[in-house]
Order: sequence, then C-alpha cells, then structure tokens
Amino acid sequence: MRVNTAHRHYRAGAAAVAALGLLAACGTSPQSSQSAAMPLAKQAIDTAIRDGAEQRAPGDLATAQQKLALAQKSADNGLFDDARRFAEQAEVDARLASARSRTVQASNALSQLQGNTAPQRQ
Amino acid sequence: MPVAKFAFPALSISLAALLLAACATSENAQLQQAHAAYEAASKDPAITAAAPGDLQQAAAYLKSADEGKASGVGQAEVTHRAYLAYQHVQIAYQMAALERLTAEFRSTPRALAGAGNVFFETGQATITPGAKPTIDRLAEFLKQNPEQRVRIEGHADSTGNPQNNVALSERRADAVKQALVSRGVEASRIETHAGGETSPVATNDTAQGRQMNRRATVVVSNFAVGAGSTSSPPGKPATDPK
Repeated sequence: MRVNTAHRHYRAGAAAVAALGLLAACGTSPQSSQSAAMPLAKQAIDTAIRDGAEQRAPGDLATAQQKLALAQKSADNGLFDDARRFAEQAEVDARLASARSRTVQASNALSQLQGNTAPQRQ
Repeated sequence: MPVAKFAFPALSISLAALLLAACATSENAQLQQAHAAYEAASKDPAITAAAPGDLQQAAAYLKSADEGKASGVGQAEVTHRAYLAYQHVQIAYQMAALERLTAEFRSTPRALAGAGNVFFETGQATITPGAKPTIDRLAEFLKQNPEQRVRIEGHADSTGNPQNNVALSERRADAVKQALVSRGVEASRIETHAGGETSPVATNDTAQGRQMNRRATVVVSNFAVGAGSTSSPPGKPATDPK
C-alpha cells in the first residue's frame, strides 16, 4: 500500500471528503467483526513476544504493534472497517513474527551446535 | 505503509488518502503479487508439507479477494485480503525453513557435553554405579529425540593382548547398549563397534591414562538413518524469497 504521488495535488480536505465517501462505499463488514479482530491481534502479539520476537523478529513485531495501535485509533474515530483491517493485518503480522522468531532461534541453535560439535573420534 | 502518529484529523486524512490511492489504482498490484507468491509456494513440496494450513488460508484469502474484486467490494478490502494471503504465504515459508532447520539440527552429530563417555574397571565390562548418571542422561536424551540414533564405540587400554581387548571393548559397548535398552531406548536405534585398544585418548603409560582409555564412547548422529543425506548448507533459508 503506497500513497500515489499523483494524488499530492488534491487539497487535503477535498481528499478526505472524497475518500471518506469511498470508504463508506468500500465498507462491507459489520462492526461486530472488528471487535473480535482486535483481541485476536493482541493475543497474537503476546504470543510473538513469548516466542522471542522482540529479539529475533523486531521488524515484524513492530509492524504488528503499530497496526494494532492504528486499529484502536480507527475504532475510536468510528472508522470500523479500517479498524478491522488493521487488526486483522496486525494479527497475521504477529503470527509471521512468531514464525520468523522460531526459525531464527532454530538457526541460531543449529549454528551453535555445529560450532560446538567436538570431534568424537581420536 | 506510513504510520500515523498524529491526532485525529491528520490521521483520518492520512488513512483516507491511503485508501483513496488504493481505490484509484487500476491494477491491483498487491493481489497479483499475492497470487504469484502463492503459486510459487504451492509448487514447493517442502512448503506444502510443512505448512498446509497456512497455504490453505492463503488460498482462501486469495479466493475472497478475487471474489471481492468481482463483486465490487472495494479496492481497499481487496488489497487487504490480498495482504492477508501474502502474509500467510510468508508464514508458510518460515514454517518450511523451521522444519528444515529442525531436521538438520537433529541430524547433526554432537558431543553430549561430557555425557558421552562411560568408563570401566580394568578387564571389566560392567557398568559401574558412577556411570549410571551418564547413562540416565543419555537415555533421557534419546527418549526426547526419538529420531536420534547412536553409535557406541567400546575401547580398551593396552593391558593384555590386543585380541582379547577387541572382545572386551565389544562387551563394553554392549553393556552400555543394554543399559540404554533397559531404560527404554529401542535396541534398533543403537549400533555398537569394537575399537579394541587402537584408539586411546590418553597415554597407556600411567594408571590415570589407562582409566581414560577403558571406555565406551557414545556418538550421537544420524548415521544409517534412511538412504539420503539429510544435511544441507546451514543458515540458508533458501525457501524464503525475502
């Protein structure tokens, strides 16, 4: 997702109004599903932290945390579709952080083992 | 993706502009990218074996993105579903890498931090009470790593004649094997070898050196497991496209 530079010439206010109109048009999901998405995202982030993502997958974890914060802000502002999307993305980002962290951990363990392998035969 | 750190009006404009841009894009690049990533991953047997669930979820999100695109659910939602699909593919790659690393870890020969040697009295092949903790640790390790096989190499010091020492070293290896089997390790996972007196680890000129040589060494490795080699170059998650 990248903001196209072609849109720079829009005056901010006009853009906001136009976009909010489109947001309403794009909106499909009920408000209830975003309320389920946020706790799931929180849970996934907690799991990622337990999996050591702070040390081993900090980028993915930070993305998940930032999106969860954006989900909260969006919900506070009544943008419930945005809130749901940010929360759902935060959850999958956190799951990727967990998976990457476990892979890095396994890779580290393997390197350590291979580094420490003592010759057994004299 | 820009992360808004400002108050409501700026945030809403930022988000709105983002979604506007997404809605205005004629071709959904992210959806195409997700399709391509999924296609590549689903052709990789290592990934389909390691992460069928995540691939399935990716496929489901792709389908819902395609359907959403067709039914005019809005570009923002289509892009969102494509993103979820793409991330599930990335998770699948990580799972495959984890699986490969775990297999390699298990197949890497290792020294058991001093737990690999069992020592014997002169001319004897009886497990001494002092060796029992070592054997307990080995048995525990093997029970926790059910795919792991071991090779037990019996050795002797140079006391007596070499022929007898080969037989003695064989009895020592067998004694350790039996001790492991009696602790619940399958005999089929244990290979023994009689080293005789030809592989001393210390001098045979002193009592202390000879004690070091009257031993059975447990080598943990994946030798003789299956036909193919399980090892591949370490530290290369070759399946990760990032």
